[in-house]
Amino acid sequence: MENLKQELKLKILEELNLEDLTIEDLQDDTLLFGEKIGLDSIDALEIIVMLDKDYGVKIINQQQGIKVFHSIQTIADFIEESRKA
Amino acid sequence: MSKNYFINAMGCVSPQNSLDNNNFLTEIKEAQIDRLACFEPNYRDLINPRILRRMDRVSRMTIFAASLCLQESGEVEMDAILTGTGLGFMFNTTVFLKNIIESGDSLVSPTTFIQSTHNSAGGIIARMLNSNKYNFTYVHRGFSFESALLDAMLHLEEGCQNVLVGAFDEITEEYIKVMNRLQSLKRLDKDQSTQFLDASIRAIWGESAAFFTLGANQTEKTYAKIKEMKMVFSNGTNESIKPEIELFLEENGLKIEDIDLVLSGIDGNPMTRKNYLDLHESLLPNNDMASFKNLCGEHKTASSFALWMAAQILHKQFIPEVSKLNFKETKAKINNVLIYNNYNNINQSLILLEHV
Repeated sequence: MENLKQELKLKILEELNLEDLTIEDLQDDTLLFGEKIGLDSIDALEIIVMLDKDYGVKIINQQQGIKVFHSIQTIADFIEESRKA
Repeated sequence: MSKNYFINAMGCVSPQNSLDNNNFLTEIKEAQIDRLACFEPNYRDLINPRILRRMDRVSRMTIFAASLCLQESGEVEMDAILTGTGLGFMFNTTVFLKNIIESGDSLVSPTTFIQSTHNSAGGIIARMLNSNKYNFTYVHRGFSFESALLDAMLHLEEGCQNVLVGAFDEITEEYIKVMNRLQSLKRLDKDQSTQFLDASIRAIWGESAAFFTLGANQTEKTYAKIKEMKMVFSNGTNESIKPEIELFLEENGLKIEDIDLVLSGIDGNPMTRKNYLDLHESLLPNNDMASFKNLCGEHKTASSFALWMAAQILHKQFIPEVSKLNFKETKAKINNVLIYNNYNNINQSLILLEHV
C-alpha cells in the first residue's frame, strides 16, 4: 500500500505537470480538489485515464469519482479494493 | 485595399533573442546541425502558472509572444484575435496519435487532445483577455500567417481600431525525421555561391511565434506601417512571380528602385532556389537585400518572423550584418521594405512596409 501511494503521488505530479508542488506537498490525506492542490475537472479526466491505463480500474460514475478522488489515500484504497474484487 | 495598417506593438519568440524589442538582434545564435530551435524565456515571467502547467512547449512560446505583444500594447481593446499556424501543435498531436495507436481511443489524455487542436492558442489568448470578440485561426500551409494578416487588415478596413494577429509553428524530432526522409531541405553545394546566396547560407528547419497589434491609427510606439500584402499561389512550378511583383509595386505607387530593402526568404533550399535567384537577378539586382531564414529557419509561418524583423529594421534603421546579402551602398534612410517569401514554390507572399 505504501509503495502504491508513493507511486500515485509521483504519477499525479508528473502527469498533471504540477511543477510548483513536490511529493511532500501531497500527503496521503491532502484534499486533491481543494484550494491547496487545486485540481480541476480536466485533471479528473486525466486521473480517470491514468487509473484505467496503468491499474486497469474504471470509475463508473460521477458520485464514485467524487469519493475516490478525495485524496491519495482514497485512490489507493479504491485500487486495492478493485484488485481484490 | 488602400488603408494603412500600423504595427503598434510586437512580441516574438524565435531562435534569436527577440524577447526585448529594444534590443534588436545584437547577438546572433548559430544553428545546430539540423535546426534553429527557439531561444526560450522564463515563461513564468508572463504566464500564469496555473495556465502554464497545461501547456506544451509551443503553446508556451505562442502565449508568451502574444503576452509580450499585449504588454507592449497596454490598455488596448482587441477587436479581433487572428492566429495562423502551418502545423499547429505538432508535439501534442504526435503524443495524441501515439496514445491512440498504443492504447486505443478510450485511453487518450484529454489535455493532449485539447491542445492538439490548432485553434487552442487563440482560445487561450481570448481567455487571458476575457474576450468574446471575433477569433479565428488559419491553417493554410505557407499562407497561414498571411491569411491571418489579411483578415486583420480587412477588420481594420471595416472600422476596427486594433486587432491582435500572429502565427506560430514548432519543429519536433518526428517532423524532422519525416522531412529528412522526404529530403525536403538539402544543403547547398559549396560551389553554388552567387551574389545573392553565399554557400554558407544553408536551408535549415526552424520555428517561431510572433504576434502584432495592428492599429488603424499611428501611436508614439508605432514600429512601421504595412502598406499592402499579397499572396500568390503557384502550383509548385518554377514560374516566376516577377509580373506579380511589378504589378504589386505599381498598385502601391512604387517603382523597383523605391524599395530600399528586400527581405528575402532565400535560404539555399534547392527546391525554391531557382525561383528566388531568377527573381533577384532579373528584377532586383540593384536592390539591397537581406535574408531572414538564416535567423529563424524554414517553417510555414516564417513570414511572421520576417514581419517582426522588417518592422524592427524600419524602426531602428538598422540591418543586422549577418543578414546582408547584396549591398551596393548603405542607404541614408530605409523607407520601404519588401518582404518576399516562397514556401516550396507553392505559397509565395509579398508584404510591403513603410517607415513612419
